[in-house]
Amino acid sequence: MNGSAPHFELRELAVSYGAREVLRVPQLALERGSLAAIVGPSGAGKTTLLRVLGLALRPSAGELRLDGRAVPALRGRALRAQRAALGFVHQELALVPGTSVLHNVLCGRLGRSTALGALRTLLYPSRAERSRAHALLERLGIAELLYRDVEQLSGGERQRVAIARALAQEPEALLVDEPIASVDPARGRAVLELLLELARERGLTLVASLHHVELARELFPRVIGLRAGSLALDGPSELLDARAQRELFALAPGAGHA
Amino acid sequence: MNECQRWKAIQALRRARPRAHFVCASALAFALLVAWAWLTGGFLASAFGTGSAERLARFARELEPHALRDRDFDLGAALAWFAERAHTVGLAASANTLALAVAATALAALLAWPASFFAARTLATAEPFLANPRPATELARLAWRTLRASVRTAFVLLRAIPEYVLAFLAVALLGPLAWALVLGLALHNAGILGRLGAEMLEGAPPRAAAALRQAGATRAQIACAALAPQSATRFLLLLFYRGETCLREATVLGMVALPSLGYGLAQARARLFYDEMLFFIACSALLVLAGDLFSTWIRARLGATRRGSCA
Amino acid sequence: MRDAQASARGRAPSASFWLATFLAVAALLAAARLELFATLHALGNVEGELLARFAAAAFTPALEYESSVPAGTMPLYWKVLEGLRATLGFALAGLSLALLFGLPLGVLCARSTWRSEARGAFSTAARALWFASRALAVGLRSVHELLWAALFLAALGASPLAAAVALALPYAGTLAKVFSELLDEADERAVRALEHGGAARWQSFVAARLPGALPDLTVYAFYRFECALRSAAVLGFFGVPTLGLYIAQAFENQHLRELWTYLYALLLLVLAAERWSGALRRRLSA
Repeated sequence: MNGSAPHFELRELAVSYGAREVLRVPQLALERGSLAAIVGPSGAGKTTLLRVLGLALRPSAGELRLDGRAVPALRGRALRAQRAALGFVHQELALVPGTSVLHNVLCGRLGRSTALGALRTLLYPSRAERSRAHALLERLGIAELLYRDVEQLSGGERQRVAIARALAQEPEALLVDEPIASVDPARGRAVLELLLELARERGLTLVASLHHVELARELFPRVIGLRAGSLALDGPSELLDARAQRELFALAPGAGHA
Repeated sequence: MNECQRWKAIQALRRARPRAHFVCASALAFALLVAWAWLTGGFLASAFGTGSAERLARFARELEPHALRDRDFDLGAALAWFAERAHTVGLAASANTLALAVAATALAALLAWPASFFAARTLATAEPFLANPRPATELARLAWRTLRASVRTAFVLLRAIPEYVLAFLAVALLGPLAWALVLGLALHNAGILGRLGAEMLEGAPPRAAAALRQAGATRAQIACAALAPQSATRFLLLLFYRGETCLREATVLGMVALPSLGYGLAQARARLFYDEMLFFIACSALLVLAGDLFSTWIRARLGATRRGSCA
Repeated sequence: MRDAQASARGRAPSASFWLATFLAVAALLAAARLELFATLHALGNVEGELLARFAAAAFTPALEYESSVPAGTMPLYWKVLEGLRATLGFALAGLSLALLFGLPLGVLCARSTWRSEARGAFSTAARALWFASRALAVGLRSVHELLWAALFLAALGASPLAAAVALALPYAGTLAKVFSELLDEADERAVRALEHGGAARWQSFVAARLPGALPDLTVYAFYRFECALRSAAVLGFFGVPTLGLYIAQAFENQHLRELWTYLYALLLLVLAAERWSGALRRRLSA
């Protein structure tokens, strides 16, 4: 692993749907262990950027480098291993309906196991696997939900299950899409603090998209501002002062206070 | 928490997990029943009984259209044979089969749609949609409940008896008339359509009906002016989807009576004309396929798909 | 209210009007073809005596044979139980075979099995395989189980396995078609999420798509069990020793009270299955 190359690096990146370009980032680099929030009005391309970083969306032009290696070179097993190294927490959580919390956490192990091993893990998880899942859930404060059906959980609990699934991948980075959209506002700060804590104690690179600018400024060392699909701001969060916020949300007044 | 404590905690959580007892028991019971069926049904012992090899050889020989026997295969001759059979018996039999399905579907709709209004829990009750200021009398409640229960029971009984058995009984009573087959097929389907129709009416938005009731509309007015038009399109969709199944059943109902595909097949089977049997089976498959395609096309045009019951 | 009605009627009220008209015309043509109107009077001409006997027998189903039987014949209640056992046995054997073939075929018939996210859409080979699977499912389904039975009984003789296979083939086709729709409708987000987390396609299928669709698959399989019971009974009219055979024989001998006994037995069996699958449906499709 090349120590000097950044964990994520984007060069001349563009994403278009048909003729419509939805994201353009000339240059962006994230060092290992950096904690960044992507902010901007809705429709600015926050989720698109996150999906590109998570190898869930192939850019139409430009390239993404992980640890200095170009991603398009990855296929099949290598691609799966690289994806497993990136924990993605979706906004809609995307848990498997009608199954237990344990099943969902174990699903995070799929990219890390052999074909038959994965089947055995899902049908009859070993003692060690159950213990690891329990320990992970304990860290997130929901250990007692291990055998509960995910459909009977609250929004906040479901989100923690989704985070646990991403952490079960033993990732090197955590990519979180709108983590406070599915919990009530009072708990939003707690969720972000938990994510930052987890990233710090495990040395993960954390990238979260947020529509809540104030929290991003307060909690994250670094902010990446997007406006109408292009990079408008990138730097320490002090940059995100009142004027910068006004400019970022100029086309959508009031959106920053949502 | 050390590993031992953790394992104990996991075991405790596992024991306390919510379990779907009924579902698990059902799955187990079903698996046991299947095992019982295979072990006691004599299916495996009978696969290659005495003389089955000769029978199979003869079957394979006679499956070949007789126009083609004892000569090299000739696609032209095969098609000519098919066309000749189709012209002499196939088309007329297919037309009768189609007519049987269409008539039965229409009759089932005529029986089931009106009846479903008397089976809907929201409508066929003493106080539909909105509580009366003065509670309905016990007698009125009882009368409505009895009416609803009897219509629903009739639906249950009709759909429990296979259409083939109903048709057989109808032929027994009426004689070998087309009516008997139409009635057999229509009654069974009326049971299915009636239940689905009632469910559809019960699923209609209750607020709109309650508002009408508030405005002084009678039960009959609500049924005719709000529920009937609302449910008409969906009922038609349901009808087309049932029509597919009716067509499939109609291909065999003719065995009981009526010169249709099933009848031709039964005749061929009785005379051991295997090539002719194959011809009628091919006609049925083509007819059912055409019906499926037509119905799928219509339902796609109406912009709704509905998965469904007994095919 | 008019707006509410218009919207509730769907986007094409005129289409449904034309459809209803089309259906009515088709029904009239069909009735003409079958001479239903010309023979309408026949409905009123039912032999009164037969009808009365038939109706009376409904209230007095036979508990003993109606005519004397050779000594050593099993008692009627035993024969009824035997018919129930055979009906249940053929239904279960046929349905289990159908599930065995229908589930894999259903997976092959599902669009989601072949659509690769990386390539965006179907590749040509995938499209060919998908089309072949669907053609097989549709072909199996379009031939009625009685017609399959006619073929197999002719080819293999009156063997129980032939009857079970005849039942299984169209059921496998139907199960495949509906299973493929249910798999396609399963929650896509969880499947995607697992693949983005490094799971292989078949892993995401086993871990997310299948568990997500399982309740619906179970409910439908149990519904088909009801249908299989009815189909197994009807196979009796082809000589398979299920309740249908006894019904046909009882009628041939004009033993109407015995006929009703068998009918009630069939009714009980189907209703029991319907209650079972109904209870399961209420628990599984919340």
